[in-house]
This record gives sequence, C-alpha cells and structure tokens, in this order.
Amino acid sequence: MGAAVNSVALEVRKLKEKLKKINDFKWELPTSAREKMNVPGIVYGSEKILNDMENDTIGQLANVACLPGVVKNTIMLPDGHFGYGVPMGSCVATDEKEGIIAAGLCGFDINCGIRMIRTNLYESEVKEKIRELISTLFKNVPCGVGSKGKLVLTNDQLDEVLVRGARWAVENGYGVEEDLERNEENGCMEGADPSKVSDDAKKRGRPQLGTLGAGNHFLEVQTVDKIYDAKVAKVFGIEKEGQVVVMLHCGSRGFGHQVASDYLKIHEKAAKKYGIWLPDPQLVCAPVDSQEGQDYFKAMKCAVNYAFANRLVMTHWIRESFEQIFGKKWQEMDMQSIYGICHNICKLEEHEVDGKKMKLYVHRKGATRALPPGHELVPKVYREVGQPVLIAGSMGTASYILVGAEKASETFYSTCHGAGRAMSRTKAIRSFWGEDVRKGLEKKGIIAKSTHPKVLSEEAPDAYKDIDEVIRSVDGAGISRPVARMRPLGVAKG
Amino acid sequence: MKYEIVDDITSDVMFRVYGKSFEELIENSGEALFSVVCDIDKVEEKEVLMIESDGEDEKELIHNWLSKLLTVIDTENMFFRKFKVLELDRNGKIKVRVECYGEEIRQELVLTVAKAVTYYRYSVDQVEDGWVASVVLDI
Repeated sequence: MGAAVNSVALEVRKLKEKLKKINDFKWELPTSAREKMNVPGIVYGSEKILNDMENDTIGQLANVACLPGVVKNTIMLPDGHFGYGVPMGSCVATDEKEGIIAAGLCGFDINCGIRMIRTNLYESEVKEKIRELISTLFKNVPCGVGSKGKLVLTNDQLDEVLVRGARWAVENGYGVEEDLERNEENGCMEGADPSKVSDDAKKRGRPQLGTLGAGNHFLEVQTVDKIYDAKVAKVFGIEKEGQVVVMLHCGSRGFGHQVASDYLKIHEKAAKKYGIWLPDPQLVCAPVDSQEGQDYFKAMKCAVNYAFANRLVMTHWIRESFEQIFGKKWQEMDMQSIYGICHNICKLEEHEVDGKKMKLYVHRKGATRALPPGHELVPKVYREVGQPVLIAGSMGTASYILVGAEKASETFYSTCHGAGRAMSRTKAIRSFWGEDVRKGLEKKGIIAKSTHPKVLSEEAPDAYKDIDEVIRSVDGAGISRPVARMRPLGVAKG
Repeated sequence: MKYEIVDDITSDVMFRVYGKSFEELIENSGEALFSVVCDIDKVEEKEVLMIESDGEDEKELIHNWLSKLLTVIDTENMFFRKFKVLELDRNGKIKVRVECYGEEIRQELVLTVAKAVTYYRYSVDQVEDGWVASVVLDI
C-alpha cells in the first residue's frame, strides 16, 4: 500500500515538470502528460504563480481532461488551487451531445458569486459613520451558521424563487428592473425545475433566503482606491477615486450544498451505469443527454436562481441600511447595481472552436465569465466596453473590477474569481487569533464585525494567495483587464 | 482514540475515525464531524433528536449518515456532541437509528461551515481490532 501511494505521489510531482511554457502567462500540459488525456490542459499564471502551485492541483487538471466529450482543453486560472476532483479556479467545456455534465465541476456552493452596488458617497463622509453603518448592516443582513433569515418562505413561494430567481425579488419589492439587466443571466436561468430538487434541499432553503451565511462569504463597504481605466470605469458608474461602493459575496446556501451533494450520489451511480471511466472517483458525472445529466442541470438552475434572488434581497437591505444611516433615499445616493456575477456554475453556451460554432456545457468552478466588448450577452449599457468582472480579494485586502477582453475567447470567456486560498481554514484558525486579525484590520482603518473572532481567523488575509499577482496574470494573458481597485472600509461577515 | 484530524488540504479537512464496533464507528464519526464544525466540548446536551440513515454497505452508510448530519445542522438549527446507536439493522440494506444529543446553535460555538462530505480519499474498513474510516469534508 505504501509503495503504491509513493509511486502515485512521484507521478504527480512529475506532472508539473511536463508543463510547456507558451508565453509568460500561459502554460500547456500536453496530452502525453498522463495516460488517457483526451485534450491538453492549459494553466494561466505568471512564473511566480506556477512556482507556488501545488503539484496535486496540476494532477487534477490532467485528470479532468480524461472525461468524455471534453472540448479543446481544460483550463486552470491563476487563482487555481486543489479542489474536489477538479481545481477550484478552473473551466471545463464539454460537447452538447458527446460530453458529460458533473456536479463536482461546478462546485458545492452553486452560484457562489458577487453583486456590487455603487453610491455617490465618498470615503470621508462614510468613514465618519462607518461603525454605525457596519453595525446596521450586521443587524439588517442576517449572517452566520444556520442563520434563520427574515423571510421564511412557504413551499409555493420557494418554488417561485427557484423558477424566477432575482425576478421574484423584484416582483416582491426587493429590487428594480435595472438590477436584473445588470446581472449575469438577467438574474434568472430559464429551465429550472423544482421537481428535480430533494425535500431536504427545500427544507434547508425555505428559512435561508436573504442570509449571508458564513465561511468566506461577506459584505464589504469599499472605497475606490485606484482607477486603471477611467473610460470603462465611468461606464460602470465609477467616477472618481474615493467613491464608496458595496460588495456582497455569497451563494446558494444550504439549498445549493444539498443539491450538489444529492446529485453527486446520483452521478456516482450514473457513471457506473453508463460505463464512464473515472481517473478520480470524485469526477462522478453523467452523459449530458441522460436523465441523470439533465435532471442535475434543471436542479442546478434552481440553486442558481436561489442565489440570484438571495443576493438581490440582501442588496435591498443594504440600500435600506444606507438610508437609515445617511437619511437619504437610496436612489438619491445613486445606489445602482454595477453588476452581478457567478463563479460556480454550468451553462450551455455557444462558442467558436477551431472555426466551428459549437454548443458546449461550460463548467466554471471558481471562475468568472468575462465577455469582451461587443458581445451580445453584455448588457446594452456596457456593450461598448465589455462585461464587468467582479473579483473579491480576501478580507481586508484589495478587490478589483476587471473588464472582459478579446483573448478571453481562448478560455470560453472565463477568468479568475479571487485570490485563492494558500492555507487551509483549520491551519488559519490555529495560526491567526481572530482578535489579532480584527485589530490588524482596524490598524489599517478597516472595521470588521463578525459573529465570532474565529470567523475572522479562518479568513485572515495571509491565508490567501497574492491577488495582485493573479490580476497581473489575467491581464498579461489578455483575458481581462483591470478597471478599478477597491479597498475595504468595513466588513460584516458570519 | 476516537478520532483525529489527519491532514489539512487547502479548502478541505480530513479526519480519521475509529471504533471497536461498527456502531461505535457511527457514533465517533458523528463526534468527529461536529468537532470540525463547532467547539464540541462546549455544546450542551439540552435536547435529543432521533436521526435515521441507511446504505447498501458500511461505506455508503457512513457517507449517508455524515451527509445527513450536515443537512440536520441547517434543518433543525442544532449542534450535537454525543451519539448513541439505538438500532442497527443488517437485513438487506443496512439501516441505523441514532440518538443525537445537543442544543440549538449558538454562534459563539461555530468553528467553520462544512458544505459537504466528499469522496476524496474516502474509506471505511474493518481492521483487526475494529473499524476505521477516513473522511474529507469540504469546508
């Protein structure tokens, strides 16, 4: 047993050595790297990123290239790290007829994503009231483990949320039409089917709509620290440095986790049933045109819509909190949506591959869609400049707004999602005492409020990779360009 | 020893759990899971909840059992500190009924959120002096 494990470890170590440099920010893992790879793997990242990347992570990229119907190449982005079966920070596209669909390639927290709203307030006036503002946000936006929300839905109401997504939120007074336009999928994926979702998932979902959750989810009041592209920034509603914006990072909560877990079990049986060879037992999947495959897609869309609604409901309470503190209506403070993105999702998209138009199931796990200027799916108001890409840094460090760029066509229009973890959560809890983290943030002028000090420990900034290097890499690769950088003034998290 | 945290992987946590009998493995694996998500020593035995689970074999049962515990954290808003197997039925599918002792979640006891029980390096084996399981949670 020991000898077998050692030889596997050696094999994986050798994989990193097989990477071929294409340019300063792009590396190829050829199909010869391991047996049964159908396509090569491509890793995006600077040399520094590559040096820090774990060997096992490269191994995962190779494994997923062995699955049926994977098209062109598997992709790892600069914030990639070891994940469940496939790296967190990856994009895998499969053929609409010959390919597979897999819950593990999309992530447990389905439609974990980000929403950002702008304001016409500036740092000095917000900093004066930052403590009360964060306290009010903490009070108005429920967070924490097992947190019960302010809304407890009936079965019928939940089904409506699952089908209508953020549109349900607007129809029930938690947002406006423009919020939908400025959101991926206009806040709702068509084709969601609540009958494909288990009772357990619905039981978890009913009391949790409009809650932030915990882990790496947060609500940050930020100030624009630096503008890199003034023209694009202006189109996105960012006028000047010092402008205050709000970033919300959250997913589909227990509902999504349950859908993912349920379908992993179903796909485990499906993979055996359809005779799919798995290089890694965690890469369970089902053929796209099978019952198990399409059921997952319909259930996943329910979770996607749940998360869209979740983020818009909380956006409404964020606007209300600002109203309470600043004594003005949110419209007066111009708190419009900048945009809303997803970074754990599977979508059926049309792409051009080697000159041929193809329909592909694009799985993004810890990866954000990044559409360039002119793309028809970019909202009209932004079409001339491209799609906003919202990148959350780790707590207390910089976040970014990027814009999709031309070379993203190489990555099925996908880019990074954040800094990526460098240290495990349990290690971070052991290494960083929450109170010290909170004091460290306060020294930098950042007010942090959490349900418990340990919550800050696990998200300590040093537990994450260097986001600036990640951004430099996607920019260098031509996938997405920086537009603005923000730094936090205050953060509320569970 | 009932259980130990074995390995820290960047976004997961791995534990190994032991039991002299399969029933003990079920009980100890429940404790191991809660030791990851909360400050289990401070959880009080204020309430008892009966939880049922099943599986085609021991391996599937432990996975289903632990997944069920993660679901119950949300659906019942509870943390548990102690488990007692009431009934283990091996006729056909393996079925188990477990008494779970704990209380409503207090935020100060929260350690981390476990999203799911993975299959990464997952094993449940009968050994010379009992049972041992290896489990990785996605946190």
